[in-house]
Amino acid sequence: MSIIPHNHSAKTLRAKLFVNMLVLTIVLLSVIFTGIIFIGNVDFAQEELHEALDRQMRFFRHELIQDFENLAILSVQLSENISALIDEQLSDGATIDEFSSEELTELQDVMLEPVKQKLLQADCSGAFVLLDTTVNHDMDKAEHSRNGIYLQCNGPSLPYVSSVLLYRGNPQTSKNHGIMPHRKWRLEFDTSLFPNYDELTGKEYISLEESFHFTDFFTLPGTSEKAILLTIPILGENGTFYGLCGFELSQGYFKSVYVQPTELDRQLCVLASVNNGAIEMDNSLSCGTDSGFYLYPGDAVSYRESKSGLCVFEGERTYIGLLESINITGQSENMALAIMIPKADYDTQVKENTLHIAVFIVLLLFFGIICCLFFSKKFLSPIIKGLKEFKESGTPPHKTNVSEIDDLFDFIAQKDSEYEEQIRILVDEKQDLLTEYTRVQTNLERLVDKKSDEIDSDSFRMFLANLDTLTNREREIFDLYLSGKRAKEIHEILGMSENTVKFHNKNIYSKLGISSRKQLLQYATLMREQEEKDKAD
Amino acid sequence: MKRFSCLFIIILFVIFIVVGCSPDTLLDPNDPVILTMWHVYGEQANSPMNELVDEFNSTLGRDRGIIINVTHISNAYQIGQQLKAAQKGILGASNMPDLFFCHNNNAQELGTQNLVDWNNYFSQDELAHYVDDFLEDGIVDGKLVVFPVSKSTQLLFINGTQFERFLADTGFTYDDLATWDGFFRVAAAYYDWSGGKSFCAMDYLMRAIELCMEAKGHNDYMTSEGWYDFDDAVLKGTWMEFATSLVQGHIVISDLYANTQVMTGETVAGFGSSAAILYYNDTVTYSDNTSEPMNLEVAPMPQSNLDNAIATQAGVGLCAYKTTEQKGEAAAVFARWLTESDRNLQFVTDTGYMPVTDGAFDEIESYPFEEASYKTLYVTLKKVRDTSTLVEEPIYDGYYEKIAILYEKLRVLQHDLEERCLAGELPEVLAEETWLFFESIS
Repeated sequence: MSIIPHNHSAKTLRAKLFVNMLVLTIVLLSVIFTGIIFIGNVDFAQEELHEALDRQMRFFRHELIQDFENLAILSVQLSENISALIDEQLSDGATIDEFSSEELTELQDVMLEPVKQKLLQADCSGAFVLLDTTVNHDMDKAEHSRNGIYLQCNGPSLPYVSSVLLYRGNPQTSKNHGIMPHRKWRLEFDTSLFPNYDELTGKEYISLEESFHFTDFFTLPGTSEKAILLTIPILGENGTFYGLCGFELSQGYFKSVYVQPTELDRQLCVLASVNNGAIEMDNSLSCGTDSGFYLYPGDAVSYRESKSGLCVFEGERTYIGLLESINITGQSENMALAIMIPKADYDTQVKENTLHIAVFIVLLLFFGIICCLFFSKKFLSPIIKGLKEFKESGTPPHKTNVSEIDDLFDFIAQKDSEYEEQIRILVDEKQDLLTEYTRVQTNLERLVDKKSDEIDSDSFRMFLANLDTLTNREREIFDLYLSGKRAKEIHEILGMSENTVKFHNKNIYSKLGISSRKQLLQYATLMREQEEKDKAD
Repeated sequence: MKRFSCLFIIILFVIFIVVGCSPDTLLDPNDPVILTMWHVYGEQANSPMNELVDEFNSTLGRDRGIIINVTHISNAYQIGQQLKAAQKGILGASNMPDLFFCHNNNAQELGTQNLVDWNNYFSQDELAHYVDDFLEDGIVDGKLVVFPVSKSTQLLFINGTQFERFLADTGFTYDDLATWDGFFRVAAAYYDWSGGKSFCAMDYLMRAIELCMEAKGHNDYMTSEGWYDFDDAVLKGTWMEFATSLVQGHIVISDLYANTQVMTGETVAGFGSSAAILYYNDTVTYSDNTSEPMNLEVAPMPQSNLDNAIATQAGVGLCAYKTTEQKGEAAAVFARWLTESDRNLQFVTDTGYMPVTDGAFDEIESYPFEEASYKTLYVTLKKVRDTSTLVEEPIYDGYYEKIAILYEKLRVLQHDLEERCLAGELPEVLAEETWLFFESIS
């Protein structure tokens, strides 16, 4: 049994199976991946960051609004307390403007504790009461000087420290209450430095609940601290304007108290006024994260929307995040909240996420390829082993444990035996034919010898001698006769007329000394026999 | 043998390559390390340190991958207390900062094993540029854990406008404030002249008493437990000098800081840190809301012995809490940047401190001060440096807590003692009462 050599350009069974399995794996993975994306179980950095920022924004907004509402409630209470104290001090028909220096000192004395209590109670860095009067009406610029109390937490960045300082007010009175003057203490308020003072004192107030007001951002005089005030009027029983009171939120306090717990590594939360596509960081309060991150983005920060739907904030440093407007009572500016993370962080996370997904896909593919290789090998190994055995031994193996292959080998074995039987018959027939051939050959030789004896040797010699005198055309016709062709066939083969053939015949016969085609063939056979003999010798 | 040699050489080569290729810094500009910081510069006012931190974050910090976040500004005493609270994890206390400014005793209380030894980050050549005494001052338990950034001394701040009216009326001069004897005479005269106003608010009464004794050559006034030896006659004698002035109301223990009492016109002078200049207003405001320019004058601390003038060398230094190697390296980068000569000079001249590098000290004379009061301050500081020996403050566990108790009690007692004195009780007797109270603190 011989194996027919295979076509080397054709792919192997294993390669074909591997490619098919790989295609199947890729299709399956694509379907699974698309499905996961469709049901939202794959986290893409952009979306994840967007969601995280959104959560932070909601938390920050909620916290601020809640604290501002609490401050508003406490400011109403403070205003009512102070109003009652002033009413108690005022004699019938007198106005606050008529308070003497001593009466103002007394008033400060009774006001200190309620103001201090409200300061410690409220989520803020300072509390104040500004009275619409001054201790010295005769002084230069007395119209800008207003009496009152302004208390601040000592160390705005450490709110649990309950010590309080007197920023504005009578130092002797405050010392009697254990409250020491601030390092930048002044006796009275300078209204030219009090934010929105004219606006706040010039309007008519109807009810306290609707009268609280956040001022513009300003820098606390004598310091570099930015702050915003929540103010509310102090109104007498008959609606007389006694002054303003309220609370302070300083940048130092805001930065330390509003630090945000966050899953983001670095984040900045800002409450600021926005104008013409820019965040005015000068008019802002900002804070970082509870892990210690805080990096001021610069005074001027422009913003624009990016393709991802987030805002890009560009100042001294570039941030990315969310910007949402917020309505704060009384603020004339457009106020907004911003949650920002450094753009570099955003880019890094997006890159890392893309890399992770790419690595994940590559790993899956790698795993798929390994599986394809393994299973294709495992699947084909009995077949290949069987084929190999078949190739080496020339007989089909007994068992491959693959029924189809075993059937195939059985079929091949059956066909093989059939072929062998046919070959045996053919061999026998061949042997018979050879025997018959030998017998015929012997008879033929014998006959030739006999005929040779009958032929005229002179005529045959003349035949042999004149063979070379034939022209090319005649030789051509002579050879055709030798190959067994008749005259009719020769004129068709050579494309000549019968007469022309007869003409050439006549010449051939004449030159060779013969008289018929039969004699020509006889001499030609003798000539061939003689040539073979000569060769054999 | 040849094969082993080849293997050895290959291993050495690999080690060399690996070591040679490993980064020489743990800092990464793409992943900045955050250091939280507590400091004392500019509490309740402008903070030049915050401005420097902003500058650092925008320049070298950005390049090297360091972000400094100032999370607390307070005074040295409060920071000391809050550091202890933070380290112990007391409820409500903040987390320990990575960097903080504190006194040596605070560093000792925190444990030097918990603090970065700056010697590990600065070469000897680098340290050679710093003033030796200031470096010495920062060594605790043999480790340089308190890095000098600025140093202060204690000076006398005077409301020049009011004091010159007094001088014109009484014939005293500023020179009378050169000695403690002269100081007490001026204080008594001012009390009479002003109708019962104290002359001077004292931030550091005990330091003045200590330096008085040391100038007389008496240094052995403390016990081994780190508190005063009440059997020491020199201590008692010196105490009585100050206490006699105190009970008569000539001097007072400051309410919190002497500068607030000078600003309200309650006293005409304040004895405090040179850094207090940052907090003085330009004007004095009186109770009727009238005000006048302060015309701040600054004088050296009076001396008990002009031939052996001594002054205190005070001020906090920079400590780094030991956490990671990366934070340690970042802290060193910041400390190095902060104390570069030009920057150090600018910083200290904004805050009223003495610079810590020799280079900055040399340049101070030609520095273009914008405010007259600052120029006056640095003329005085130079005079102190040229004429006095600077001595370190005591470092003992629990020392400053006891001092705080003493001041608080005297603060409460002083007006009552003054009234009793005015009512006719003898100052010496009242001073003896204060000594008994002093003795009771142990």
